[in-house]
Amino acid sequence: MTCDQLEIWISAYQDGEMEPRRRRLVEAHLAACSECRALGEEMAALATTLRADLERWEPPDTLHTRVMHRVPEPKPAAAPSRGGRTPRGWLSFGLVPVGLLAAWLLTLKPRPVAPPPSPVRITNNVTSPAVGPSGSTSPKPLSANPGRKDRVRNAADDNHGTVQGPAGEPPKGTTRSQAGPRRPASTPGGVRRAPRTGTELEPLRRLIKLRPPRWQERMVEGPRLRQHPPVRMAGAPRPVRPDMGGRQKPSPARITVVDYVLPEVPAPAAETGTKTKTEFVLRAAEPYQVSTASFDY
Amino acid sequence: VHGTDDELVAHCLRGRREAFSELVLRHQKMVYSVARYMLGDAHVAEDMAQEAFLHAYQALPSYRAQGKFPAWLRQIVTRLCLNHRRDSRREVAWADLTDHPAEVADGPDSRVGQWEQRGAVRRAIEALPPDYRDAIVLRYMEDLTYDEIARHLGVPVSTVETRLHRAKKQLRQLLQESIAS
Repeated sequence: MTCDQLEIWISAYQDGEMEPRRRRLVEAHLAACSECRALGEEMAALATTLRADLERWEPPDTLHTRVMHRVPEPKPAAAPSRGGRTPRGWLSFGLVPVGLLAAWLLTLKPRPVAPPPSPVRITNNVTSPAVGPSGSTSPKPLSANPGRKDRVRNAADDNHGTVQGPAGEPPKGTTRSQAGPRRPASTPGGVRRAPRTGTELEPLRRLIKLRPPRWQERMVEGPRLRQHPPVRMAGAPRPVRPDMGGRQKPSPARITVVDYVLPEVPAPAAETGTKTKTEFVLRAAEPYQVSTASFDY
Repeated sequence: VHGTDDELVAHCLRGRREAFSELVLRHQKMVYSVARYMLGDAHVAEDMAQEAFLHAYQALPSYRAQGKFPAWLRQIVTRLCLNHRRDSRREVAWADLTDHPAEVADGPDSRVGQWEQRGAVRRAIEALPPDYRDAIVLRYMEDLTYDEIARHLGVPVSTVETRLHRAKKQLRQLLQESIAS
């Protein structure tokens, strides 16, 4: 092995970074070649100089401040921990079949069978026949368990539509609530509720007239209202659209607002100032009476 | 907050921000020095050191406690400097390589002479190609083995041997010229 070939190993040899086989080769060559031995000594001296003089720089004083300024606030929840409250990892995968099994068992739960509704058809002054499974044209029956859209549409049709009885019977000219059970799930046993009468709706109309102006204004602005499902008191019957007395077109959104928008009750001082405390309490309770009033179908 | 680096890392993972502040205080000199030697510019080196600490903070959950936090941090700053140098595609200016005002201002004659020698070494390093400079700094300032240098720089060990050998040959010549002048 020549000096040129061995020269590149001398530096590694001086640094102690050489495997035993090559180290023996280098040592044998250095013992025989004085020129390479001198080169090795120079490399060793240079390495000593570099280790002594190649010092680290002093960091600027602002470095620590800059770093800690940009370090975000730690989130303790992000720290790796085992055995947390929420299932993680394989445990959450193990819950998937359990959930599926529970969902399957729920689907097997027997449901109460509602009585078959009488074939009712909304004429709405225009008869819209539907094609039955046999291909023959038959009246489109009203769904026994209508969805939200159906309920809204049915409520909107209450003022305009007429209901026909079974095929062949003449239109009765009554509302749907009179014609058949619209909500069999809420009427166990298929018992039909008594029809509304003008006398029963009279207290409701009176309460609506007494509501504060702001609440009334919000009720009129239907599109701005939130579409939340109505909240009912425990045991209270389902509220329905209050009769607006034919002043405006009824909207289902208005029904949901009744339970959510609480009116601003004016302070007693803003009133006449001569009312007693009992009167104020009664006054303040008026909107809540409306909001929790039970409306019958 | 006291303890080893690994204990401080554990404190950081539990949400104690001051533990990371202690880690920065311990290792900012090493991080800044590596960046300063590799990039040459003081301001760029400070920015790169800051980025290195932020990268380390975000990667703390992936750190395996084996008592090698400085090596882990050094690898981060080395990679960042290599990426910066590759992206910028420019030769760094080492104009302030010998700028050490604190030692110049209050140093006695012996210290001035020492600083002059250090200045000569740094000027010689300034003249080296960046690849040779990296190998010299990691070997003689950070005391890394050839294998560790190869891992830091992403090159084979034989390349590290070659770079170090050629770098030392050039340094020897540059220092002889500096002493002669």
